[in-house]
Amino acid sequence: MAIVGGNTFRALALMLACMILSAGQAVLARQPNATSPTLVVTITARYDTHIRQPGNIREFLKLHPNVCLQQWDGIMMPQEGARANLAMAMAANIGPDIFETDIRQAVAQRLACPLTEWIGQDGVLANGKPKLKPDGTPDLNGQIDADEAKWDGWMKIKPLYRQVVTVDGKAYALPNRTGTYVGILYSKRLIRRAGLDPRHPPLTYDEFIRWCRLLYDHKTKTPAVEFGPYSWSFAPWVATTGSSIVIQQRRSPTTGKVYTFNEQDTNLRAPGTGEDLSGAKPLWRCNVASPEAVAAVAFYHRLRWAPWIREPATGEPVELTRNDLKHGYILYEARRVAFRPEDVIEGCISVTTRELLDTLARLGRDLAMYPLWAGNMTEFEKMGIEPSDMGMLPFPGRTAAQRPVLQASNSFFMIGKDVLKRGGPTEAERKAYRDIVWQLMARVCSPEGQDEIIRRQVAAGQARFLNPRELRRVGLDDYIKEIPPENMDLWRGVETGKVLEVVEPFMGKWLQFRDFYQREVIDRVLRPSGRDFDYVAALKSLERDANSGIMFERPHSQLDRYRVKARVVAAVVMFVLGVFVALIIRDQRTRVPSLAGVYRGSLPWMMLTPALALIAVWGYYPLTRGLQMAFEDYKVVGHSPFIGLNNFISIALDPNFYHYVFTTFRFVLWNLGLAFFAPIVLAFLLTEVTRFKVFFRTLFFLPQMTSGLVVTLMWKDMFSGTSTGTINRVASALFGHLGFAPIDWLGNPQTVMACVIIPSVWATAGISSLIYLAALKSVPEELYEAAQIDGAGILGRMRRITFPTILPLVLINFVGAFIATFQAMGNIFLLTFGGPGKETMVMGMAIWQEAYVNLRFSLATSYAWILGSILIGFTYLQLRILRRVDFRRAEEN
Amino acid sequence: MASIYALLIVGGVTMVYPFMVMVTGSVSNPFDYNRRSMLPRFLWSREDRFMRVLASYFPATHRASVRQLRSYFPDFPEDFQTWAQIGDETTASDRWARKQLAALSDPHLQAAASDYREFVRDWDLRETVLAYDYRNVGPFLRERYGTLERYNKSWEVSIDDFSKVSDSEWSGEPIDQQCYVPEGDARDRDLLEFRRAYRENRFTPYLRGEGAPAGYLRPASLRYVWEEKLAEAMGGRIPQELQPVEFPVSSGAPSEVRRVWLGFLATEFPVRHIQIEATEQRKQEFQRFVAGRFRNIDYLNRVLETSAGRWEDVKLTPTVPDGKLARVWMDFVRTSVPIRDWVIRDTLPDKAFQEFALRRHSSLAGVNSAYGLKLHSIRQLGIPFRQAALVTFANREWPMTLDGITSNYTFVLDFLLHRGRAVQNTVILVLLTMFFALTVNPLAGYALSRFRLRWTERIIVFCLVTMAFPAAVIAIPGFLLLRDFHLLNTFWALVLPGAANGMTIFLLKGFFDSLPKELYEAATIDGAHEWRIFWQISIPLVKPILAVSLLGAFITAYNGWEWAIIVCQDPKMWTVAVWTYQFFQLTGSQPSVMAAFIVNSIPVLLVFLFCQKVILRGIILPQMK
Repeated sequence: MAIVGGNTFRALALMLACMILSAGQAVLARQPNATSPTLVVTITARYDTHIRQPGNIREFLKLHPNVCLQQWDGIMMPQEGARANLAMAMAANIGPDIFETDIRQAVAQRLACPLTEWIGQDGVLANGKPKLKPDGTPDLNGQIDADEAKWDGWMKIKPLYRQVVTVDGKAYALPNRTGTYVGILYSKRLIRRAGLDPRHPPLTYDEFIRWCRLLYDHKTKTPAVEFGPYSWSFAPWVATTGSSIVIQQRRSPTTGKVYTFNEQDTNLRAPGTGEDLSGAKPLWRCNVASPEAVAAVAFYHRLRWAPWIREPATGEPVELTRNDLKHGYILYEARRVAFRPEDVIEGCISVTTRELLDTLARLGRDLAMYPLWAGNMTEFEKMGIEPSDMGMLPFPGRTAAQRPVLQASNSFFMIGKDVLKRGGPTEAERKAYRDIVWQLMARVCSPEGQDEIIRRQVAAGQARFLNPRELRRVGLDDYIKEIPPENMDLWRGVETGKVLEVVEPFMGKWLQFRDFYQREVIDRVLRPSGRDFDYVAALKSLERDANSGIMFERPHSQLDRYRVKARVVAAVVMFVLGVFVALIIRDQRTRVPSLAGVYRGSLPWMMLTPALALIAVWGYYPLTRGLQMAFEDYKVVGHSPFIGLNNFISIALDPNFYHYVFTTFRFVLWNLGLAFFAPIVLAFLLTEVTRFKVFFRTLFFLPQMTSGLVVTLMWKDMFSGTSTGTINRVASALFGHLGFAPIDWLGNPQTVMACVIIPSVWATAGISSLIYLAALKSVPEELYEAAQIDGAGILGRMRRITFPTILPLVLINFVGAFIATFQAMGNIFLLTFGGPGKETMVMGMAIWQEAYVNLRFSLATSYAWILGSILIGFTYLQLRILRRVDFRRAEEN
Repeated sequence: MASIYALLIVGGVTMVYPFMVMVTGSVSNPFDYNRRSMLPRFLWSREDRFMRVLASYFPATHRASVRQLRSYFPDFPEDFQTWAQIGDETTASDRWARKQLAALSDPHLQAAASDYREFVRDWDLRETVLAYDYRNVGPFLRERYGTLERYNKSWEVSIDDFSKVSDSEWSGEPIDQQCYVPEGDARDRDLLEFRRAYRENRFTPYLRGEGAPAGYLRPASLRYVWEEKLAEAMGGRIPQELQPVEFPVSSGAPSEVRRVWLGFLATEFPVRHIQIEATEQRKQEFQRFVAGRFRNIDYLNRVLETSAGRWEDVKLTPTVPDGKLARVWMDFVRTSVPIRDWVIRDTLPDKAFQEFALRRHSSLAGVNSAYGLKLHSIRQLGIPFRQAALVTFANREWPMTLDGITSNYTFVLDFLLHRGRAVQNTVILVLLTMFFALTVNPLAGYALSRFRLRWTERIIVFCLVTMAFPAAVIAIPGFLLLRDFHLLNTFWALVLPGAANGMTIFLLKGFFDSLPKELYEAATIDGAHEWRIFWQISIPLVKPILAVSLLGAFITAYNGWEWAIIVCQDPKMWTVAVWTYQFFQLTGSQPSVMAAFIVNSIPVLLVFLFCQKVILRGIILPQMK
């Protein structure tokens, strides 16, 4: 079949050229119209522009008809990838105007504009003069004080939030108006029904666990308290131990002693001496493996797993020790109380596995307590939770010595760095644009946006369920006295300091860290296999990881210790790399033909230019730039300093790196074992059969009729871990009688590796077998006949004929497949994104994540170079084989 | 030998099975999607067809829809909770469906159904429930407003695509809530307009004309709320002798029921259906109530955003007023007006229908004989939606089933064609990629083969060496380079970095090498120009290989998403592949996602079918020299 004749070919080329022109035009048309009067200000999803805008925004937009506030969105990715779209847009200089992410991370990467021009800064008075101490030295305290603030809204922000948004004396963010509290939501009715009093909430761990046990429903054998495996709802528990997830260490300049303070401590006096250490430079560290932070996890473990019984006479719950379990009785108030094994209850909380909304709908029905956020008691009214039934408890202290905790939860909006370049060519225009963005952000964050809602609630007679602070702000103080006493206890507790108000950690990369915290510790304690989970060890390794990259950068002193060793290793690696590159180049050049008939015209060069130019620009330039980047600390904005081997030392010191390498090897081996040999086997089978050959071949070609993306997504859907997932359905139909239970294929470390490989095996077995089929076809029939006469069976024929025929082919393909699989990550990206835990985090995936989620481009390129060094031998082999091989089209049949 | 066949057959089944599940999934709906069966059972099972139609009348995502269904179909089994679960229990659902369908032989069915039709025809749109298909919202608004700006202005929102209209705005309002009252704003008006469109069967042409009394718009009956309340009070189940229960309950009801009813009225019954008498005394009471709530006029004005000068300006109306005062009014009625003074208005569809039936059939006896019932109070009469739905199903069985089959596909196509540029982008990208595949590499390969350049070997090395490094080393700086050239979110970002490939050049050079040298010599002697030799002699000879690389270019361009999600984040630049990924990411496992998969596969399928020969002829066998 002739696909294209000479003329049609030319016509096609012409047509393509026309298409290119039109495509070019389409590209040009895409450029934003500079003359358009509309200023589009974009904002990330924490502020929803798809619902009716609050009054203060409507008012602003009416005043500025040329301004439009639009939702900024990008590609949605799973897990950590959720942060990637913002990060990539920032790296690409097309970020949103107003965005929300980890403040300190954004500042460190210079993604956020300081709000100095509107708010002011530390050390400069509102009138622009420097603020001086009486002795004439600059008066710096790291915070923007009332006399320094240029914006009257600043001092209205609560002090804790002012501390959170200020970095080195400059404000970078504003807290969103819809601030809420994370506390333990409870149903007043259910609590009272269990004979408990919400006015006397549990103040210690022991009291809390007693509540949970008293609420336990013995009839249905289900707990009435549920916990979510989330780090944001776990973080306040660390505060209840009197410690914090992040700590600051300050060295006294006089005594040289190092004192540790909590992250949010403002009283920085050294205990004992009383020396004020607020001037000392703090060292911020992650603290999750400290005895206090471990105690918080241990409490989760206890809630979830500790065995207990209900003492039959009094109904009091009693926790059982291991000995009690062995003996089968306990001593309770000097009485001997025997129990049967079936009386023992394991744990007193259940774990959220369903949608949050499903869980919420149960609050007040069979769910009595649930740690969650809420701004006031009307928060979940629409979900059917009666405001009069809903209450909130602070998290109890570990012992009576610690205060109960409520976690203020908020998002913080920042102005993106790209705003500085927007608005127009002149500075005045850009300033005008910036001001518009600022005013919009101030309004988005202003509590006035809530006014309409509060008024509506007051009109509906719900004033008593609101936070008194809101009522006061709208000027409706008289309603405060109607607030039910248990609600008032909570609000008053926060205001008087009886309840400790904390925020999620704000130093270090908390957003990044909390994913690890969640999936490596909290979730694993709570999940069904968590009883024997060694959380102390997990916390230790997590803390180590956190202080060497995930949350805080590894201190330079630590890197210096390895610098000499690193230089030696680097020199060796570079030497080997260099040798191989030289070998490759030499190898390719060995067969220099005679120079007879050298063409001297310009025509060949014209023909070569496009290819060579493209390879130079998109191959060599990035390669050299990548080499340079590996020795820099690449910053998306501003100068990227040269840091020598630091990236490589950090990687080598990171235990995760070895895990990634190990996982990669595991993936490659599995993949080669399954995906590489499947087509060979298939080709054998297809040559052996005599009937329905075409039919079978067509069957195995079916996956070619759809795209690789669809294949993978389809399999992802089939691997669904619920009982309605396709594979679980088939398996239960086939093996149900053997007691098959649905498997969470992609969430289970035992199955996940095979699962990320199967889709590609399935999809490529057919098409890849073609080449082997073609090779086998070239074997002369006589050989087979001769073998048959010799009485060789299938295996014999395989060994004697088929193997030798395709062996070279297998070798060639093997090297290529090895190199390709080593870098592959597409299916893993789609199926698991490296999860569960870090189970499928191969190098390719780790590089992607470092680069496009964490914006650590330098680290990512260093990873890539390491990957290249591991592979260089194979690459050399591959290129060598390439030169030795002739590519021929297979004979047509 | 047998084992080989067995292996191949097992392998073949695993090849086919996922596809069948996917295709079946794409024509399923919430009722049968989770079965993941190979074949769509509804094609031969009438029971399944009925249940699918029922699932579209009562979509699980809508507020309390299965609870409403239970009220219309009193024998709906207790343990039927979600559509997925009902679909799973094939025997039970078949049995139940057969029982319903058996009622089709009831001679009274027609009368009830046509009365329903008559009643619904001009029933107040505000008191309706719409089992709408969210896929119609976008097109509806597009038609109503024309431009996004006008829509944004009217709704005081900011969206950049009609597909992003907040879904929650359209999924039935909380009609069962005690203090719910429509806001009467722009979105409310649009919602009513949308319902009107449904009433006129604008989105469901197959329900037009006689014979289809039950549309997707039905009166907002509240019987289900009462029945649930009563059942709960009676210990989980309403005794047989009380069924069908009265709603609203008359004064002659058993005292037990009456007691529950008063409690129901006080705590749950929607106050907007209540009318009170605005006597002088009560007016003063209301003023006192308002004064008590707002303390002073200033508070009142601040909360209600009014400008009243005196308490007397706030008037008590007999029925719920419009605007912000509505909530105060409802609170007043609830807390200060004794229930015995409440009169249930005709806005309650259950009551309105009872009166409608009485008017039509002149007496309770007339109603009983027309509907084939044995009621002893007209208050027991419910809205005959069940009868109407059965008649509709009987007359429109296949059109409704067909709509269920096509709706997922029409949704996906509508999305692809109207709400993005995915199709245009993909076409342009594929053409661009193919153009480059046809020019850059073949030209270079040809030049290297045809001409003895001084640096031929060096050039080959130059082309091949970049391959020695992992793609990631090149990709990251490549991304940054694209940014510096301002090429992100353009087609160039997708095409240029991969346009030239050393390996392909090397391969092509090999093929050009294999052409007989005499060809060139003969052509040169004939005086043919180099371009002519290239176009007319060499290219046609390597056509099979070029066809393969064209095919490869098509596949990479069409399927490519890894690079695209990095360099083309802007939704306006998404290709079909990225769009499919996003669609899956956002909606999860759903029938429409399966349809999207299939739509995505169609171009690949076509290319594969037409180019099988190309693939087979283009197999390249490496051979050791």
